[in-house]
Amino acid sequence: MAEDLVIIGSGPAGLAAAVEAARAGVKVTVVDENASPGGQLFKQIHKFFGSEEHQAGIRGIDIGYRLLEECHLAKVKVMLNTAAWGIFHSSGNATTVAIKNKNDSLCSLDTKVVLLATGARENPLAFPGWTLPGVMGAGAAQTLINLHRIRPGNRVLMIGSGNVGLIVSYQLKQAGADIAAVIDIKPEIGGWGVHAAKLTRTGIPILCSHKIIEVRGLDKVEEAHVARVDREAKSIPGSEKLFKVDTVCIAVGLSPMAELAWSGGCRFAYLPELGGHVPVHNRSMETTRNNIYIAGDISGIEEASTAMEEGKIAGISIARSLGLLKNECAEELIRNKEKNLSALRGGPMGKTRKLAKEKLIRLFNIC
Amino acid sequence: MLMNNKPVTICRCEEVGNKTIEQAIDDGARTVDAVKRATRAGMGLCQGRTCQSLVAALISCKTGQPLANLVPSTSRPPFRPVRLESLAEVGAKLLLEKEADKI
Amino acid sequence: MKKSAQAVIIGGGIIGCAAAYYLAKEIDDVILIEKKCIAGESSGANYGMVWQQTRQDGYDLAAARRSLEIYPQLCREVFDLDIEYEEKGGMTLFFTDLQAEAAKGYVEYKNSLGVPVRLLSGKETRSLEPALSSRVTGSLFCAEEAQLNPFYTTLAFARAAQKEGATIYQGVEVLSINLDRGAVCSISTSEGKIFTNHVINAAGSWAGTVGAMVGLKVPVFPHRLQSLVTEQIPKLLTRTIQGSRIARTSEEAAKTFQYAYDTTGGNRPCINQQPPAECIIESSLFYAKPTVNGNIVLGTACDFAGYNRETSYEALAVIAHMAKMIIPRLKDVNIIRSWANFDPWTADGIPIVGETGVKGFFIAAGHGTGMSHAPATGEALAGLITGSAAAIPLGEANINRFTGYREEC
Repeated sequence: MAEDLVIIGSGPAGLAAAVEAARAGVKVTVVDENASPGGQLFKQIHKFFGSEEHQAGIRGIDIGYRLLEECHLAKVKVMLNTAAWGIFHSSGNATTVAIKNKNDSLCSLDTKVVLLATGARENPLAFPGWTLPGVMGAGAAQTLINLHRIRPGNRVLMIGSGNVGLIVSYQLKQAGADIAAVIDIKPEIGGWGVHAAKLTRTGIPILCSHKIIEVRGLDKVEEAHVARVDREAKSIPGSEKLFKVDTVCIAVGLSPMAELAWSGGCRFAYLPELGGHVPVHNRSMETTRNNIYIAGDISGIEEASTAMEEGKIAGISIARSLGLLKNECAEELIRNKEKNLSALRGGPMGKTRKLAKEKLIRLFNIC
Repeated sequence: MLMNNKPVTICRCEEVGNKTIEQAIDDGARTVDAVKRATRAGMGLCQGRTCQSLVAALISCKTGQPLANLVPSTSRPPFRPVRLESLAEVGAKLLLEKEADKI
Repeated sequence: MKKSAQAVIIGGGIIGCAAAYYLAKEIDDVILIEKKCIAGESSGANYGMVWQQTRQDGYDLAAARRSLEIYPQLCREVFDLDIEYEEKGGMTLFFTDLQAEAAKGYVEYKNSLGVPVRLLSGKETRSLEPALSSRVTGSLFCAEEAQLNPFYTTLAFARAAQKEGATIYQGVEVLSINLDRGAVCSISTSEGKIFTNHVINAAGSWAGTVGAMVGLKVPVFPHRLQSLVTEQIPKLLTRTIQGSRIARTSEEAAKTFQYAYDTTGGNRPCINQQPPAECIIESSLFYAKPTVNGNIVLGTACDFAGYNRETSYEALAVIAHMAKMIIPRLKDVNIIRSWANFDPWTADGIPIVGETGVKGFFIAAGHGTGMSHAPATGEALAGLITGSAAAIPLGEANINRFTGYREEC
């Protein structure tokens, strides 16, 4: 068999897993459909919070470079512009990962273990006019400005006041766009106070209990209609506001990108706190399908820092399952990472996620 | 997830609107897969990656089913479009290996 | 849920839905129970062929020909949605001169049964389907054959049945069929009990499971067919084509069309016969169905893998290879999906339709050719249950053709 471990996705979870596994002697190949590795890290030009252990004060992009260097030193093979378009059970316990490269030529990797670190996708929001050019996901806007150095528009309405909505609004502002407003259907701001404060200091209004009614324009976004909502989220007549904008960004949450896990036959659980349907996994990050592991946002929407810790646990567990790490040794390492995860899942929002993640692991043992 | 009574496109690939989907639900479709079979929502180039959550929300909204029950329709490779010729090359190689290249 | 019915049909595929429609026309209180959704299994994943050139003499051919007669009328008078029924003819391709030779005898035989199939040269074939490769040395063409959209056709039958008063429950599972002195008296479902004296097992590849509920062995097995679906492209093919297996020796060539003769050679199949174990991916037939929307469905790779509905890397690649050889212009087209279904399989290739040794328990299952048979099967079954005259005789399709059936009863 060609490979010990194929990791799909070179974001923080995938790379962290690759480093841990490779250091233990696992032969690792990472595939990613993007031209550069690092996943969302390379879009994150802001500094991380938390403890020193979790690289607080360092920008996402620098964490990405650090991980890449570690991968290089650990002799991890990283295949870029390479999309995994299917995983198939092959003879024995092996898995075939079908991949295609940039030139559309195909090949396959036969591997003992697969780690799905495919991350998340942005949730859509359907309203009249949402298919007009100029309506996009906040993540897409962030990729445009921070990766490609292209400003998607000059005047932006942001829908959603979670961390993504707040951070991307600020970054759009830094890129020279005007932010007409950030709106949220909920009565309070979804993201962290620090991010919200940065916006309000620059005079950007954050309108809670507001929703988008319609986006209008001839062949691109020209105006957005917004209304205040009551407790049932119904719009209040007479409260409509019109914003002249050329861009509307949608930041209404993320969902695990889990098609490969579905097709692999993994069992799922529905946990809205984690973004919807999530593959059930055990403490080792292994799914209900032998030799298919997950880490990062695919196992529940969290953050880059938790994704890296989960990736490390997966990498260590995989090394152990391949006989390259002694059980006691692996167990100690995993307990250490679990402690880190526990610390990262602090605060009221973190606690909800922590409970949901614990439930996910409990569900693994219930058939 | 839908905002008002104006028609809204749900599946962008196949250009299926909310009215068509609501009709299918009225006609008895109770799963994302059933809506897909009845309306083509989710059968296009992106294979429902964008619209399936919207379809699930519509079904839940109209029937009161919890979102937990509304799983995506069967996930099938290829998860990214692949050129037929590229796949054919793999097939030719596999058949050669089996010495059964008959066509 | 209703507490009683005159007849309960198990299975919301094309056969169950057609049976529901024809029964509901004749009697009140028809219930159809489907564990997933209408057209949720094989009826939603097939090539939508209404063909006669490949049907075996007897019930198989009679049902196909009767259906070809009924469909246009259903489209005109009954269905309230467009099932994309198009009578464009069907084509079976071959690839060697030896096969063309073998085809002559086949055409004569089929013509004698009244099937208007013709032999076309390679050139004639390509004048009808210019996208076909020069490897195609000829074809069998039957103008009186059609294609349809399998989802919509199944849905159309379901809706027609509802209009006639049938009740359809989706997402409901049958747990047991209860007998009273050897006759059906009720069924228990995940949503409650229904009293009825007639149960129709239209569960396709799951017919065996349903049969076991009344202690009958119903020898229908899931035959996994895999297919690819292309993106939407401008028109490349006019009609559904089937590629025969390649034959290089006259012996092989003689077998080219064997599947459409009586394959049992007069021997009755056995109730305990299991499907062949070997993988037959390399010898599967080729199919290409152009859909109204512009996608082309390409198949097939067949094997017996139990109820494993995954698609395999090897199978998808081999289908693509066949497609490129036969329709070279497909090479730059994108594949956007694959699927696998469980085509119901019986040992002699003929479905099982009719009454059984258990009073009130009927079978209409084992249709690898559901789209070709559904209207005729539904009509005949309704006739059998209500006692009206049959348009086609069902005798040959009865389960008692299987040796060993009696011992099972």
